[in-house]
Amino acid sequence: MTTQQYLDTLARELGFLKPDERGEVIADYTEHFASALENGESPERVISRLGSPKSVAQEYKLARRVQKAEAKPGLKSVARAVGSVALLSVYNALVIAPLYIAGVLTLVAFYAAAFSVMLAAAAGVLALILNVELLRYVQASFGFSNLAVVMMLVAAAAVGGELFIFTRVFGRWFFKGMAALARRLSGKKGESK
Amino acid sequence: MNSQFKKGVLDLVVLAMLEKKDRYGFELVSMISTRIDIAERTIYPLLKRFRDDGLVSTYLGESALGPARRYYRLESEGVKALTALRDDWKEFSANVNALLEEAGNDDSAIS
Repeated sequence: MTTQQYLDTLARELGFLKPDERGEVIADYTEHFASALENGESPERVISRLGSPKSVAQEYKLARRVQKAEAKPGLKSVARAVGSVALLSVYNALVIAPLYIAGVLTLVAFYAAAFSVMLAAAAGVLALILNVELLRYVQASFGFSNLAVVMMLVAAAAVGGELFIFTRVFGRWFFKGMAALARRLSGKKGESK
Repeated sequence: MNSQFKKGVLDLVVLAMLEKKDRYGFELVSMISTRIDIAERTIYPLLKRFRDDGLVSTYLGESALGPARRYYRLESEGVKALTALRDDWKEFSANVNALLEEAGNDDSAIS
């Protein structure tokens, strides 16, 4: 591979970067080859030490995904960073991937719980307004007044709402934490030949 | 030495080399790679990250022959990061050294 081929391939592999960023990276490597040549090093030697354009590009991709996840920690951005980091080594995959999946499942469960409580409260209000027979029956058998039913429904709605807010806060904290973990683990690459 | 370890300290090394003097990419690579062999493939991505995070800035400078060189300059954010990393490193290496010494003394029982 000639220097020009190397740089062209690298530019192609760096397609995920913005053009000006890509230009800067290519400038870094162009300069590196030129300086090495001045130093009497052959392009082959430089290439063998840098690694393939693909592996170089992967390094940038990983860094970018981690940066994005940190800047805007969300389900998708963090999943991408976690995926990239998990691919680096078995150790990373075993640490970060199960943690992420467990966290997301926990979030889903909490959201589902919050929604069902709120839904139940809404259904109760509807039953009260429509004067549903079942509600009247339950009311009569427990001896609940209308006021008691309304208060219970309000309480249920409040609990559902709080659970919802709690889940949101936990979610933000979780995605932020996972992004930070991805950053820490992004330096942990397995022994590359 | 394994490369996870080296990659971790490379941030510190690169920032430290920029503390006294602005340097260009190849200069950093050749200075560091004489002692740490993964330097060549990791320094440019690392420099880009520093640039994105505002730890360093770049400018084009003259070179005796050949194209202009891009110099890296440490910014105040970079100085902060360097100080923090250096403190961490000092504490960590002092602790490791102390442990290695203790491990060498058979009679140093846990008190």
